[in-house]
Amino acid sequence: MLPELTSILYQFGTNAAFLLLSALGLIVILGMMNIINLAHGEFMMLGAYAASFVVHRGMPFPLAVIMAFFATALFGIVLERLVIRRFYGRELGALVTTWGISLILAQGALLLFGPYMPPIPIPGGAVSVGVFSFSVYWLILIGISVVLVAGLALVYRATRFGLQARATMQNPIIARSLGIRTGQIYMLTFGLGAGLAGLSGALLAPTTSIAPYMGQQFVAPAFITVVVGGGANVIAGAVGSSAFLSLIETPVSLTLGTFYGTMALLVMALMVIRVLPAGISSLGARLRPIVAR
Amino acid sequence: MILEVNDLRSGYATGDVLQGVSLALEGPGIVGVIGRNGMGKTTLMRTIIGLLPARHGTIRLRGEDVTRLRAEDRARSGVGYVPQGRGMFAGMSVLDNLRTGLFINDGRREAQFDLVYGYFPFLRQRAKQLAGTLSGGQQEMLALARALIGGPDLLLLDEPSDGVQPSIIDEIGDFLTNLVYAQGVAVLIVEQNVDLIRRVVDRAHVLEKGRIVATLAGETIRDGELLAEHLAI
Repeated sequence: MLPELTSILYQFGTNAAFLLLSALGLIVILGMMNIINLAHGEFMMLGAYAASFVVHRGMPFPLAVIMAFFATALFGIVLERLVIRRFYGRELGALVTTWGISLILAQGALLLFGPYMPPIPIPGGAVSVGVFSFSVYWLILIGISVVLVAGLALVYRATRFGLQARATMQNPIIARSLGIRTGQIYMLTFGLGAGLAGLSGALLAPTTSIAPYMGQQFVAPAFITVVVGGGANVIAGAVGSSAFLSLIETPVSLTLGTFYGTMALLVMALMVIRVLPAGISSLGARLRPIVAR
Repeated sequence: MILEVNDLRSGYATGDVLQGVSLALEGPGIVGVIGRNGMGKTTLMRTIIGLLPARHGTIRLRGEDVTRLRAEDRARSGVGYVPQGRGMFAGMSVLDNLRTGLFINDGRREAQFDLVYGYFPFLRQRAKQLAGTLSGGQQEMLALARALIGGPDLLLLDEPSDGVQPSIIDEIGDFLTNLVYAQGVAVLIVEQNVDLIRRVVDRAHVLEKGRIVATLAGETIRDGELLAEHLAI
């Protein structure tokens, strides 16, 4: 019984970690800045490419992941200054623009590096409980995704940058009139979102093949996680939605196979958005007055 | 000279709302701008803080020309602005709203938490409450405290009586007079509320169709009927 339970927990954890890592950068860029960033997957691809590039030149993998964060963040900052900042408040304009950027990045990667990058071997071995064996790396990823989300929440709750960023997202005009340099905040926020996407891309790189169009597998899960989570509290929402969606996906995958698991996830996402258009985190806002009473 | 506005013109796509406004705040004290709706009071405030560009004329803070400076940099040079409708970050806590005022004056002075808690003790008790759940009067006081906490030399107040119950308006009036004597702040206040104007200002400029058409001081301010005449439709 214990091995089966461990196996189910492990599947649940990996599914939730995959959703959370896919969504990490988008939590910031879509959730906080309200930019429909269709280049999110390509930012993840860039992180994976950067990691693969330096790992095969001798850099240890953990350092390569950190390097991927900074490289993609820097790329995001340059992109924000040159292009993205012209589209604030114009959601559809930003959507088309980021779609164009995603095409350029994927095609550019193909032209520059060919159809495949050398893969990164999956670090760590396996542990077994009973007849089941579990990948150590995925166990680490589950832990890292928790740490990353907690760290992101801490940055927004407890730092000077977080305070200015929250104020800017709520009301940029009032923020400016109080001396908050919103232009810088937008730039740093976009850079942070891009960097986190690159970091996730590097972390997930060993689990997949590193190719120009690899980003596409992350885009749908990322958007579903953030949208189902909702905007009332983006970070808590994404944690809630990744946990909830994996709770549905995992048993269906285990009994009927991953194809039906994914289908269950999609159907459940549709139902949540139908019932709670503002996402899971709007439940908190609805409950608060009742609790306070 | 804390604030000097000279021949200011600004407005929106439909045309100039301000048609050449000049006024000055020499030092600590409270100067009012009164006038009916649509005469350009809010436009004047938004242009002074820099949310609207000046099309003509100059704005000087402590002698320095800030006409081309962005709003955030004007605030950082020591201007606290309380917009009409209070401009709360409704989804943020009372304490976080206060903290967003710390960039005013660019942190040159120590954060005046004790000062604002002294004036408005409820802010300490409700520190964790969301600002959007406060009453209108409490939000107004939070907006005042937020503009004050960084230690500005100049406060711009756009209709602080708007949506606030009369007893709280009196309280705000007492706070303002006290503030000027205790802290040496210069206040430019835009108002329609006759009682608040009579209570606090040293002089009042009457704004009509984007121009200052009269300036009331001393006895003429205390004369409520004359004031009401200037505000009458």
